Amino acid sequence: MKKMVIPGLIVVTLMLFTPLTGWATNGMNMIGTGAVSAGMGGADVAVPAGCTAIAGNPAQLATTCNRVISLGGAFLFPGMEDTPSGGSKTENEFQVFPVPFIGYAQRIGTSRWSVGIGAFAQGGMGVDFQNVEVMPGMMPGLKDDLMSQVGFVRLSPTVAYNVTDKLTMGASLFAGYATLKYDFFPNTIGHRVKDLTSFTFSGRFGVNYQLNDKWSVGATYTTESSIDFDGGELTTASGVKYGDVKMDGFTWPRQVEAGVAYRATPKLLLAMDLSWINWSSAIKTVTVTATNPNNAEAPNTLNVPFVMEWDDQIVVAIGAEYELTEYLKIRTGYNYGNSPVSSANLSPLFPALVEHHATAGFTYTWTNWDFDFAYEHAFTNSKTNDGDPNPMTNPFYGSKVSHTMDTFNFMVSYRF
Amino acid sequence: MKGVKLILIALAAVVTLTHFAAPVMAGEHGVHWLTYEQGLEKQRELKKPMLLFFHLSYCYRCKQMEHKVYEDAKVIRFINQNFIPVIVDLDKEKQTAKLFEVDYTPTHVFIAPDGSTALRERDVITKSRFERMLEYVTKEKYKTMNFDAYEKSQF
Repeated sequence: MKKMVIPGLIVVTLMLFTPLTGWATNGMNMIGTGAVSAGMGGADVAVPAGCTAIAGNPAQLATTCNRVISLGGAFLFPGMEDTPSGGSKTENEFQVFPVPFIGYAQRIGTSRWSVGIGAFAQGGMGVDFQNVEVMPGMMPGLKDDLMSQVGFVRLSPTVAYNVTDKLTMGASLFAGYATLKYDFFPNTIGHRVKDLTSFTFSGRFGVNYQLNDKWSVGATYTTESSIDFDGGELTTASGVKYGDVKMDGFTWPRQVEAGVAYRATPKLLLAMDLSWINWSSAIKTVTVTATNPNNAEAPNTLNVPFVMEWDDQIVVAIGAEYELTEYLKIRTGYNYGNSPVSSANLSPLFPALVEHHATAGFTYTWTNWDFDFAYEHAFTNSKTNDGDPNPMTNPFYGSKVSHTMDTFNFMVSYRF
Repeated sequence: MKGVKLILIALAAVVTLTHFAAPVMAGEHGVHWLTYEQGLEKQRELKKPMLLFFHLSYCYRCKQMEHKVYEDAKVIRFINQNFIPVIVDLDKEKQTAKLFEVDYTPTHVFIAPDGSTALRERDVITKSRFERMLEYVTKEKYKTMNFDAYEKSQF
């Protein structure tokens, strides 16, 4: 019985968090976890962190001197538009995605070891277009829906060690839980998929080195998470239900980050991160395979390939933190990451398009409490599908998709 | 990408300027820290209050305390004139840490000249609050009120 308790708790925690995940904006990744990181544009690899090191550079967990608990989250407000070739523009339905974070960290006694555990949303995405024109060039007047929702949460036990007074190392084990559902013109020419889920494991290793009083450098490496979705249900527009549905070819990518932080003056901290996210190995052609139909006349197996062929992403994050008073720190940041989505394979179902982000935030400290806030604005980016003009293989040829986003981050931390 | 390049150039300029314009830390000689044994001897001789700073060499928040408070010229001068400052590394001086029941860094303990504990505080302390603590102890206000009451009386 005891053996079941911990895995059970992991599953329950992840499942509680998953419905609350949503859009993220470095591909499908959040630009930063926690209001401190977000306020600095996601530049956090070489910046001291508390609990949020669980989702960032695990080596920074060593800056936790005693015990700290953090609770927070973000509210994401995406804005999207889809204009099919020869059709009219449809705006995304109003959506708010709450993205929670909870973490606890502590130093083990006065030793060089720090440990922590946290649950957080690694990312995801989702759209909800209603009454979109379905290939208006071929089927004028026909309208239907496009909806997608991908959520990915991680539960992360993390450990960090002060190797020397200047060198810290850390590692996180990520137990991940992902969910996916989508509607692809479900009432006319397509189908609806729901209840796809997957458990996955991966890890992150991090290091930080304090060069001197002013400079520190850090780096992280995150392994790939192969996400094998199954347990779903597919319903075709004609009403046939397939009871066994799986999705192959969907992977959360490996990532390499390097960062530098510079204490310009006692009150001013500058930081910069460079990241490489290997989407090209992770997201290629995603195939939905449906079997076990409820109609004997329907094909026994249905294969639905989504050619995505994402590009690798280079992310530059720059941030600044200024101590305005003893109790108030203000932050600002900028984050750029090229969109991994190529124009040839652009789909309004998975339009991870935004590239430029501007952020601002603050921390107010009151006794043992920290109250953090950050605002992110992802500037509008648009692309038009210029791939294969054959509508049978590329139903979104000529579609123009725009994407923007506003995010509000909150976090409360208590040290004890 | 042009915007990114401009930001990188601007950032490099800021780093360069701030590097050369950074002020020299005030109080060149800093706080005259003693070991606990040295401090005890000195306290017997000078009858001044003792300030104990418990830290770890790898404690980030202790370093924050050092940079934000112990590098301030006014604080340095006041401590050197009015206190017997003692620094205790919890990793190396476990007996002293045990004596004062300290397992949290940073921790400050102020010992009155008669050997009694005048004040004790955990975590990073802001400079202004730390200055009020120094005054509270030197003015021997701990004999008549606790520190919270003293702080309230200052506003």
